[in-house]
Amino acid sequence: MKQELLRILPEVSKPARYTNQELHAVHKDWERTAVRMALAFPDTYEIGMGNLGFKILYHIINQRPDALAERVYMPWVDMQQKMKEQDLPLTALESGKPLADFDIVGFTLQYELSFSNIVKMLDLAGIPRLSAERGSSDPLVIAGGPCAYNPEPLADFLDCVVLGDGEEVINELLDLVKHCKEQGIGRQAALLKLAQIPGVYVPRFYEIKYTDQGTIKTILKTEDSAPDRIQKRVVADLDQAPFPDTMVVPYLQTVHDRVMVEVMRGCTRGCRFCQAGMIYRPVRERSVETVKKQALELLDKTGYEQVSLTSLSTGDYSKVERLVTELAAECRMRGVSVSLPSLRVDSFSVKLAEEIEKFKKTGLTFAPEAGTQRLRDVINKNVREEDLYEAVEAAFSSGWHLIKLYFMIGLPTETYEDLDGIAALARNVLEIGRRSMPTSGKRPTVNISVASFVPKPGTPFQWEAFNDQEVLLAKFSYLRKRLKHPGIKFNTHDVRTSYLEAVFSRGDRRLGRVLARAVDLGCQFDGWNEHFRYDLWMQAFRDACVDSEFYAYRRRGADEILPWEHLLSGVSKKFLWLERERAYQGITTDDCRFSGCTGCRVCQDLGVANRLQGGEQIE
Amino acid sequence: MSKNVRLRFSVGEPGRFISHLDVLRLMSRAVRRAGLPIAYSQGFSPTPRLAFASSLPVGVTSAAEYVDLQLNTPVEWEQVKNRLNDVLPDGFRILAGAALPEKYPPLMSLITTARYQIKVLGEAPDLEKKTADLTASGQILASVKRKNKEEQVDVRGLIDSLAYDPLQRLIELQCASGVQANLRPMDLLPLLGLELRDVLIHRTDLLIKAGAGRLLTPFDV
Ligand code: SF4
Repeated sequence: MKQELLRILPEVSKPARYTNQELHAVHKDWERTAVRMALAFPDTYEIGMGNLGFKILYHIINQRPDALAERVYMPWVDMQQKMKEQDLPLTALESGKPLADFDIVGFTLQYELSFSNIVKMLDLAGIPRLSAERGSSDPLVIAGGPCAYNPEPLADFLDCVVLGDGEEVINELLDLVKHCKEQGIGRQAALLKLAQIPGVYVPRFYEIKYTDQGTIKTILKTEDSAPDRIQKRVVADLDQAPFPDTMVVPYLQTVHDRVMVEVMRGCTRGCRFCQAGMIYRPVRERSVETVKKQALELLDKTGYEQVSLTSLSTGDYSKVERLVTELAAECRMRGVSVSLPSLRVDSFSVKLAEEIEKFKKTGLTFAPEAGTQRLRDVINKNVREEDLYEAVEAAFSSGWHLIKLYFMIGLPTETYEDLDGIAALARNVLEIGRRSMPTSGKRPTVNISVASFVPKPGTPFQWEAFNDQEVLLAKFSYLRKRLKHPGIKFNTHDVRTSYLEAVFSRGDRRLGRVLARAVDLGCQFDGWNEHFRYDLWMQAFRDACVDSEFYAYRRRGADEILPWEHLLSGVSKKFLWLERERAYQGITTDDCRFSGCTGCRVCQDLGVANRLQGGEQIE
Repeated sequence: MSKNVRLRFSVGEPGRFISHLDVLRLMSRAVRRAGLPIAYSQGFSPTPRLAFASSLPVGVTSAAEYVDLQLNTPVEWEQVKNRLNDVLPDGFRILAGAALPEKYPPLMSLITTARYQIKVLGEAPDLEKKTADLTASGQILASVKRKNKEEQVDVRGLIDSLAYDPLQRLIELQCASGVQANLRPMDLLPLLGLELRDVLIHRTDLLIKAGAGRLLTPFDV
């Protein structure tokens, strides 16, 4: 580790964030490795270490003899201060090399509120912010992850963007970068070649023209060889996909500080607000044998005390009961526990949770999302009130005393009746707790968490307006009054944070100027309440002469060209619009895993299919 | 062979930067990786039976940390040591060990004393005089953090010896350490005109006061 860095470490908070000797970290010979990529996470070490996608890429890249991957996270503000005082650039953990020395710097776009951190990290690394300003000696700055389906606010900062499952693209990308480096191919020519890789989007080869009203008039290619549209890449068979055989074990506690095994990718429940449920289609399950093998091997190598079976909705995994029973039995012998991060709202899920949490019953979380059946039909959240009551009754009577319920407000068609519905559900759940829990011991508690609905690209609600901030605040205070009740706790999300998210999630390239200005003004760590500066953001919008309300509050028309029109997740725009119409009619759509294809077109257009371990394969 | 084993271990870079809770987690994971037949506590969430002698202040390195392991089947302490050293991350090293009897008092309750070497990195005028003055005075008021509040406390009774060796640029400190009385070496720094960044603190011994001024190591009891 660098001497200068060692000197300042004792003076910053959580110095272990910046040390590089964690168990299973991969240190390769810098000089003898042809392609070098920095995996950059635009948030703290603790948060970034919990990201499974990063671990997968780290593994794939470092397996190649000709490539290396190193990690870098956003330094906390005290560390930034020290770096500035000592004139130290942002460096990667493993080698301590400046980010600017890498061939590729790859950012993950997990959520819109980390965009400012991406720009800030480029600044700290001394890499020119704008793609157009970078020269042949600068690294290629790329990005991937869920927000890649609308990376337009970052278009000017990124050299290319990868759509879809990274493990499908990464090797082709490294091969090409290596080739260009060896042949001395210049930046522009290299980018043209990169644009030929399916799933790789090079923003500079597209020009956006706007109408007088400010909407998009055309998205034009400026290079003939660039594709008209970029379609996501997809792993067809998760069982065959590469998965890490070991994981870095950090010195300090991080988010998801446990073994993670992905049991499936994709979800076809079809909740209309949910971006993940659309962009990760179709459903691909790993076999029970593979999951078990990976889990046990990782447990042996890391010594972790817990393994988590991850996916968007693990309760939907077709062989979940068998997997959990068998794995939990193996784990018990090793003094290790199993955790399920996402539970469906039903008593089956409670039974599953029982299986793995025989003793430690802290809290159970369910997400009904809306307060009335009518609104749940609108958003296609197929949860009935009876399901919820059955689930919580099962939970309370088998020893849980804390139930957390997640809701959203500001959904399309919402009225105050739906808010009354949230309050009624909360009180009924508490009542069930009082009835079904033993009178001695702990009292039942219900935690109600309410967030503001943010319309996301690639979903049936991508055309909807974000609720007015004033309206949302009024709704929150209405709810707060109705939820004032012993035994009920009420948490809300900051409305202004959601507003900024709403602006950026459906933003276009004109927001790039705002972003740059905001970072100049000092905005960073926007996802952290203590650092979020709404006032500075509003100043940035004013300074850049951009109207934020245009992006947040405007309902888009059916024929409007959306900023991400040329970026395809495989789910057809027609299907999304149809789903939107069905939402307004209160008509639900079934899960295609069980009902047969409902026509989103991912399978046909990408040549894939839902792959369930139960044997069913829906064509 | 014994089912109970006491180990002495060192903490270096970057181990000194993590909290006691992190060290506990790290050791439990190492024990599991080593495949040692560790015993687990009964109850709601079973945890491996590891007991530490003391918690090392963050930022301090050490050559004298101790941990007691309870195993389900007897294993030679040398084996425990080697198997752990094979799987421990940088900054942690098992140095020595001993078998423990079936029943033994918790180490944490026995420890009374620690020795530190404080290496002075930068300029440090008058340290010889300052340390001598301090030890000569009847009262030493240090500001100490207790329950998140800064308090002025007389720490004179906690200090056994304090001296500066100008040749090696080392402050040698022996002071109270343990559950009854405890002094964090960094709390003395302001009284010597030093800041945390000017020094490297290293714990060399963790000891037990026996009668007649005798000091025992955890392996002697
Ligand atoms: S194409 Fe049909 S089967 Fe495939 S994910 Fe879409 S709706 Fe489901």
